[in-house]
Amino acid sequence: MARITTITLAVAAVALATGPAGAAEGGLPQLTQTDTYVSQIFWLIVTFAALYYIMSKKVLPRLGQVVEGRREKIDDDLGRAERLRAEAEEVMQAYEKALGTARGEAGAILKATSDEIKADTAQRLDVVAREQAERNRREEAEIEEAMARATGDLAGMATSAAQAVTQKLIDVTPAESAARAAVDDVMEGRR
Amino acid sequence: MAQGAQDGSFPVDPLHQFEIQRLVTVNVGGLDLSFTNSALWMVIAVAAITGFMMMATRGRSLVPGRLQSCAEILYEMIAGMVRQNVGSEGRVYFPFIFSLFLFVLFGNLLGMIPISFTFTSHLVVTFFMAMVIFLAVTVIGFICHGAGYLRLFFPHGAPLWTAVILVPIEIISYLSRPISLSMRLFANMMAGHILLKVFAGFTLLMGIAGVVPLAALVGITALEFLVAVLQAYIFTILTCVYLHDAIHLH
Repeated sequence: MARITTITLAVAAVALATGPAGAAEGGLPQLTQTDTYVSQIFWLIVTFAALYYIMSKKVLPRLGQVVEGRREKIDDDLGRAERLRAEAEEVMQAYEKALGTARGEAGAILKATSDEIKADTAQRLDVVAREQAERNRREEAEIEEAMARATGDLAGMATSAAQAVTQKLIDVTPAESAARAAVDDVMEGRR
Repeated sequence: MAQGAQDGSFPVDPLHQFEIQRLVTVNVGGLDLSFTNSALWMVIAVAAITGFMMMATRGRSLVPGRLQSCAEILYEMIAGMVRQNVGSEGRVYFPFIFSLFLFVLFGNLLGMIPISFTFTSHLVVTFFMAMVIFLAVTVIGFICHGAGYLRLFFPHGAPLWTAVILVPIEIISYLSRPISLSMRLFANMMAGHILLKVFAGFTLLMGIAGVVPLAALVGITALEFLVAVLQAYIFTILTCVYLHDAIHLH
């Protein structure tokens, strides 16, 4: 809108400035020099056609090549960077996988060794324990036997002693079996 | 130019700059195809664009220099304009749009050189360009859509009875496109140049007080550079918009 005002102002200024002289000359050359129209259009066509030809055949292909070439190069570089990144990631994954496998293997070996040792220890302990138990049993049996023998001797001695004491006291010799039964009774009660 | 200064009238003729002068008279079969100052500046514009572009793209380097950056910015700008306003089908018209923008831009900017000639300040030039664009767009529209292109004159989904009002309005607005397109460029360029001349005249006329219009002149000159670029841009982008309508129908 401001532009229209300016134009109006300018035209008014022209009217003011040129006054009758301008009117005498016939106003705007754009409207009065009609005999130059054909020439203006002709040269417009010629020059614009030349410009269009040069632009479309020479300049724009070149410019397009440069601009597209740069875009391709940038895309290419980005693509390569992406590919390298993917590769690095792959290597990283492979490394981690290898590390994991190694760790697993180490664990397995550790476990196997530990199991082996455990089994060996258990076996040895077992042998020792069995030997120990065998010895214990044998010794216990010996002790028992000795004890039984001792106990048997004691009872026999007690029976003889009881017979002898009874002989001395009341001059009656009790039968050995009775004396024995009495001794057994007493020993039983003690026990 | 300053012939009227003595008798107290205006010292410069602001319209003199628009006069067409025949430099080489050419007459082909009764047609006056004289090489005029207008034609000269068209040739200079094309030569300047070609020289600039050829120099800018000579290196074709991956990392652009200053000139090449300028050329690439222009390329990307116009390519973006076509892509956004016309779409991917617009690629075919890209060289035309690119040439059009540069032609109008250089025409406008070269006109800012003192004593040069601004061929875009002539209605016949801008109107011819606008008319060619208008006719081409119409032809492209009919090629793309056949008779269906006429749907452009009736907005999709509007009640049928509104056609009585809408169709004439749409037809008028469509037909006025070449007029508004050419008028906008022509009037802007002409008015700016007249304004510059008028202020220059005031500067001469007012003696020592002439510094005031001189200061204004500096500001207007800057403004005219802006207008020169802006009008070239508007002319081109409107062409893109018309192309979009022809290819996509609204």
